[in-house]
Amino acid sequence: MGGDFYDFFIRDEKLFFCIGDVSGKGVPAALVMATTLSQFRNVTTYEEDLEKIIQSINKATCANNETVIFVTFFVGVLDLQSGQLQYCNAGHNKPFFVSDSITELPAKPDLPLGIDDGVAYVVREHVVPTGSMLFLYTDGLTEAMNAQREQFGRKRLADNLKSSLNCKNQIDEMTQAVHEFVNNAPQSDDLTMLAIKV
Amino acid sequence: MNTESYKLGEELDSFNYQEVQDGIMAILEKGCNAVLDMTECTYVSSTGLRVLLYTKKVAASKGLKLYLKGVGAEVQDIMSVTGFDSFFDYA
Repeated sequence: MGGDFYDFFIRDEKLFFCIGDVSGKGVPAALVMATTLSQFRNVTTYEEDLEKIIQSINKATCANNETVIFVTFFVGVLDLQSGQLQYCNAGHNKPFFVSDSITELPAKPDLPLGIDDGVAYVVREHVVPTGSMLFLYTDGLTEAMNAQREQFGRKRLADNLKSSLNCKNQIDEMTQAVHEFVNNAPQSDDLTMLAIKV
Repeated sequence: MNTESYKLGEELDSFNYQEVQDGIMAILEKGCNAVLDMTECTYVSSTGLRVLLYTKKVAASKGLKLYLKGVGAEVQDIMSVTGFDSFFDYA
């Protein structure tokens, strides 16, 4: 039973999206994932303030979390009219911003969800112009290992990002690249990718 | 208050997390602060991070401390990526 998840929907011409990775496996981790995802859906139906959204999700994830399961979580709200992106990073891998150049979104992570219900998460902003892409992923991609126990890593990831591709083709090409790199080594972790092209 | 060390190998992940957790817990149950020597460690998975979190929480509940020692660049990078870099105490 895997620990990766993502979700997205559009409301009032804004794209609400998230991606995350629960630190455990089995039923307890699945319950934490369900709590996190349902809280994301519930809060974002009426709330647009990202700070309030992530604080609410974090409080729900912290409640009754005796086994210290934590969740790395990246959540964003993209205004589809203006291209203005607001986002928070709770211990998740920094997404890549793909335009004329390939860069990681400035997003020094705060603590993952589920550890401290008093964390003040930082809300950051970035403009996402038409034609550019956000590429989000979980650590199963960068930590995919080949038989020599080398990791796929952020550099290979960045080298396989192309601004000319649409979302489906980008994810297909990345999937192929990581499969070729890993070759026949057993997969040790879930791997999730989410591409958003404006 | 007495302090005892537990020396970690090259990795802390799903293959050895239980052994490491049991080792740190044994120190805490003796009423000692625990120092996790990570000098040789180059990789900590999310399961490994849970061991650090869990034992830090248990230590705090007993009025004790868990210290990390010898954290190298690779592990520091993992701590930074996951937002844990200023969360732990360092020996």
